[in-house]
Amino acid sequence: MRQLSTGDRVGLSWRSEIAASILQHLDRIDVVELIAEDYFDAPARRVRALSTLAAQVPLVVHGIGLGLASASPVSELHLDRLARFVNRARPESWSEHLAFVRAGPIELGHLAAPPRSEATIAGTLANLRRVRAVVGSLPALENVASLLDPPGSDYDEASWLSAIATDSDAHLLLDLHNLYSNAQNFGFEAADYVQRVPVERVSVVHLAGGTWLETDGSSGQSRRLRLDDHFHAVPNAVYALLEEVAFRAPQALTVILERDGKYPPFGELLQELTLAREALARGRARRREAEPVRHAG
Amino acid sequence: MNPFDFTGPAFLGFYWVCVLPAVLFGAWLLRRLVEQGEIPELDLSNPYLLAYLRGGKEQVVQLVVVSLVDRGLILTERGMLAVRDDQVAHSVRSPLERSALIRLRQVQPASPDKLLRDPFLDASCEGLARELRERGLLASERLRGHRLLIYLLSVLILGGVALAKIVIAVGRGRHNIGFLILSAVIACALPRLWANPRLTVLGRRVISDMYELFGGLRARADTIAPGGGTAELALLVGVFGIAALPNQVFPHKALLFPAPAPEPLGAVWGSSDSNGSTCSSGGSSCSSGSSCGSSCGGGGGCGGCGS
Amino acid sequence: MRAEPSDPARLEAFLARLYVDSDARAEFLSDRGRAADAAGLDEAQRSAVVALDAGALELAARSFTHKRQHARALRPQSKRLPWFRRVLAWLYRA
Repeated sequence: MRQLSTGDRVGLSWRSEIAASILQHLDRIDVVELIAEDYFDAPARRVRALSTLAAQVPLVVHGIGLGLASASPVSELHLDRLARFVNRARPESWSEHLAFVRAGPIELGHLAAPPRSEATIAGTLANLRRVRAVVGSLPALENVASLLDPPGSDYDEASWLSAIATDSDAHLLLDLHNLYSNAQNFGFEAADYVQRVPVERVSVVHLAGGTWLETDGSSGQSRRLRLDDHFHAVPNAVYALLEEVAFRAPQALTVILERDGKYPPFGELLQELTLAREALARGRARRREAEPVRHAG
Repeated sequence: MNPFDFTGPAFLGFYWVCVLPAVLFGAWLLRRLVEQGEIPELDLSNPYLLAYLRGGKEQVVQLVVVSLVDRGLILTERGMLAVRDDQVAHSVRSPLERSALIRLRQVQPASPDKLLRDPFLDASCEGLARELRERGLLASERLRGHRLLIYLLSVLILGGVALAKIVIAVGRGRHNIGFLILSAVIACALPRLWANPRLTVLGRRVISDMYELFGGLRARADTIAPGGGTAELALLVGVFGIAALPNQVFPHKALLFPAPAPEPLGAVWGSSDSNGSTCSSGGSSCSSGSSCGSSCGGGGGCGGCGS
Repeated sequence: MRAEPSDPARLEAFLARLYVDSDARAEFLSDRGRAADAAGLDEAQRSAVVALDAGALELAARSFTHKRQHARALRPQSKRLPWFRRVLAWLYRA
């Protein structure tokens, strides 16, 4: 019997601006992703409403403020709030970023790529042990985009990510636009990265869009850098990466389209979901063709 | 200390302060236990279903009128409605809308109020009601039976306690039982006032949750493009009622649905939940104006995963 | 300031300051070595930060500022925390 990958799902990030449209088109949306921090200070009725949402569509949760990938411990207050929300919302799964968001008294207010070193690997693993103890489960770990190659890095991104995933036994959330952006910014092959990371650990994939920024390079020549801003359509190169991941991954994938602003007519977002499904289907078809046929008995 | 040995005023105090609240609380708790359930899957793309859940036929008729006027299928002049042309009923897919257009063609010009009183939409609304009853959001006959039992149990306890005291008092030669009899009658009548609302506990919960989930739509109601290009206007009215509809999006609102005269005192006591028109029980997440861009329904986004 | 040998947290703190503090960033770009020494970075860390791409650093800092403002506008925090939660937050940080 041939082995087939089934159960792939495609969905959207839950945003208030498009919430009504999402609810209207649940027949074309398999899963919805919530940002955990949106609910930390929310009134109880707003958190409670998620139960009704969960009855209509599967939910996954995405954290953006824990700062897992650091030589320093995560904030216990933030971890506590995250744990309470995750256990209240009871999503199918949850995820967080391999980034740092604070250093001592300095709050970055957003995600920064840490130096990829033994220290941050060890720090991340320690943070994940703490997270598992408090939350009761591990998040899927997301690769972040960066305009600046973190100084003090002894590992390349694929090796660093692989070491953390393997040693922690966590799943991965592969953000393909982050990967694409970093590949553009730092001159490595995105497809090579996909081959080198433990794709069998990828449970969630993010798709997003970005834009190009111009800057003066060190030699004075103008350089283009890719910014992951979630305000633009997903580029074709990212769909190609999704096809590659679907080709390599034996397990089902949950693909989430992230869009945070400059919303087009909702039909365009639905079309992006269709493109994602088509990329998944192409990857899965290639996988089926590549696998040897196993005969029963 | 046996309360049945209390003197008249003391026993009355005990009856009103202890017995009645305990029985009412017990009845409330029992009803919640009976009416709770798993939140059902709902067709959230059907604004008529949401409107009916919120406020019954009146809300559905209002929504039909608003939606068809917005889409230019019904014309309005000085608060009266008429179909755009004789073939317009063939251009809609919703059976409910088709019924409305066919009926309006027969009776036009007609006010929205006349359409509400006309039984033409009763069958369609009954379909919506049936679906909502099956999902446990509206009270079914079986549930009304359970509610009646709970009510009768409450009456049994309240009446029984009063009767026991009356028997004891009369047996001891005391005949000042007038106030106790009056108290018992009032106490037995009180639970009846809210004994049988159309919504179940689960139904009220789902409405409240809908206000939150669609809160972002309400917050940007004034950006909704009129003309029926999207279903947003219908969804807005379906979930929140016409009160949420900005005048600039639907300029006919004041003429078609004039604000009602203040209700006389005494009309407040009703068992119906057909408030409908505002998100009074949960929409206040959108009342703070400028913060509603993300706070309604949650959704600030991460703005890009990294620098 | 004499650095502890290879304190990774110190490097993270240095980077964080460069991202959020425009004065610190300007000071760094005018004399990278001195800024690294003042932050107590070790030799390897010092070499790494001295080689930082200035243009990318400026873009990254601007991006952080924008995203921080965007996030603050969408999720205002400390103003909305009740007083007892602010006390709790202070106790956690202490």
